[in-house]
Amino acid sequence: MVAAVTRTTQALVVGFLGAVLLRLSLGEGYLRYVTSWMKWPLVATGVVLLGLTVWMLLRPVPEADGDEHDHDAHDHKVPVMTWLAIVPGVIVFVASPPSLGAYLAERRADDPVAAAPDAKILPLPASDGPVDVEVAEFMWRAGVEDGSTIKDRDVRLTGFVSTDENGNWYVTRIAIACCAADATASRVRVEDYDDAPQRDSWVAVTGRWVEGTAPGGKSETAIEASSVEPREAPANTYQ
Amino acid sequence: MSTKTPERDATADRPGFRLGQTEVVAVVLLVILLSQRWLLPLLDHDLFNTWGTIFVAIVVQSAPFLLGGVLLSAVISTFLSERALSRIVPKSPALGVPVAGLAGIGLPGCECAAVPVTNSLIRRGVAPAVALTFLLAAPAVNPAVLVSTAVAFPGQPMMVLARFLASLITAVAVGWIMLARGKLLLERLTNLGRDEHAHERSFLGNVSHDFLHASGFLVLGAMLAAAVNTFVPRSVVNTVAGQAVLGIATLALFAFIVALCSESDAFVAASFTAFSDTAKLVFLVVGPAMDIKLASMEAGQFGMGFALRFVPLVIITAVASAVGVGWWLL
Repeated sequence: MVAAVTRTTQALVVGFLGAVLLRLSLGEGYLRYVTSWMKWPLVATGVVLLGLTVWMLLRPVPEADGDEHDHDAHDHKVPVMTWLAIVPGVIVFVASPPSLGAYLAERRADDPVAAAPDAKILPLPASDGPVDVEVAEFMWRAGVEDGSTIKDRDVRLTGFVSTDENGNWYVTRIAIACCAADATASRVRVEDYDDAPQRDSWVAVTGRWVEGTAPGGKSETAIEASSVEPREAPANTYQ
Repeated sequence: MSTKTPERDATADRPGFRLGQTEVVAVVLLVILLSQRWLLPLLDHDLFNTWGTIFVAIVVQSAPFLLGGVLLSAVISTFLSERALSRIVPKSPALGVPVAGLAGIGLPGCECAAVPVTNSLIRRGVAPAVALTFLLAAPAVNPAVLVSTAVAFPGQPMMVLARFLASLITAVAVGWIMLARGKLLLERLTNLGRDEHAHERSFLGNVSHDFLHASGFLVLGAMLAAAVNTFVPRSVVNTVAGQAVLGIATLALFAFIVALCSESDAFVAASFTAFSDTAKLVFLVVGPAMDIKLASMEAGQFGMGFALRFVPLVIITAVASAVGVGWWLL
């Protein structure tokens, strides 16, 4: 049988959660799970929980069980379920789950990607060299006006490598709106470049759009690569 | 000295009892932290990692909102007198229900914040039907949610209006149903009577008490939601997109089991391009009102018997309301 949670252990549970949140938010760890604006709310939450822990440890212990004058003594009746509150912290420290990557992107690859923005599509900026374009933007540009805004333009797509069962590989990005639970993947097939880099490694792919390929079309969006360079994974891997 | 944790721990934390539960938990945590280097390769598996990332993400995202809700609820429990509250809340519960629904506009948080606040309102003598209406409305009709819906559905302002109306109607309808026929339901609010000490505790006492009560259930809900998110491919959902009734039922069920934050669910709804707009609206109205994470927290706060009746009532009302509003507006 699982024992009920005692008063001091309650403080430990709260303190552990606070410490985990603080550790994640003061480094870059939190960016694996949530968007960047959550940093300060998480720091504040960690600090408040640690302060609460100190108070819980220092508050007077009831002298006897029958002491009805100390009403804070009633706190110690908390549900057994409270034990679960240490699970997230344990998982963060033990497994340190990484940013979502190729595994999720491959499973979500067939999901429809949200429609292109309604506003008028601006042409890519004029440039001598390749233009940096986000993977998702490249995809919706390919689908609008027969891809006229990216046709015959040198572009550079940055993302991580995912694959499919036919031996193709893709430059891939995952977008989150709020937290990793609402992740959506977008990816562009890389053609004419046979040595697929290692799965989940980060690359910058320079090349040109393969005409006629678009999301939901006969053939998935593709880029004809002229060069593929390895890249360091960014601190925030999500868009 | 014994390492066995005695049952009496529930009522005792006596001085002189040295190697107790606290020490055991502390040692286990320490061992886990120190053994990280050796445990890590054993757990290096895509499926486990993906589940872990999504699970931790839900907890991390919810924690500030839960703490915010707990702080607000402790303010209500500790400082707000019943008299002050009765001046704000209309005397007649039938009138209080729609007022509570509209008051939900003012709490821009996610659903995790609303559960402890609702609990403290009931403890403070607000009619349960009124407080629960607030619980249903707050995560769904606040400005943050409506703005994110507008961003996710560019050029479809009717979707925002439809979401606002359908969610408000759901909250108010459930409130009135509980007033009219709620005897059976409200008698099950078992956990509330037990906590008659709330107003006697200090502010921090209430904060720690409420946080400990809610956090375990939040974690349980997050574990389940992350499992669904990881193991159920979205393409399974898409196979029924063409059928009107089945599509609505599927997205209602999906909203319940994936338990997304109400601030972000619109982006996921927008990606269900194969579904009708009404089915997407059902997803947006059911999700904030009831999902697996909320059901778990409500079972913890209000009792299992209550949750078993409340959860289906809310889901059915939400689907009916969304289908009606969707048929009218979309």
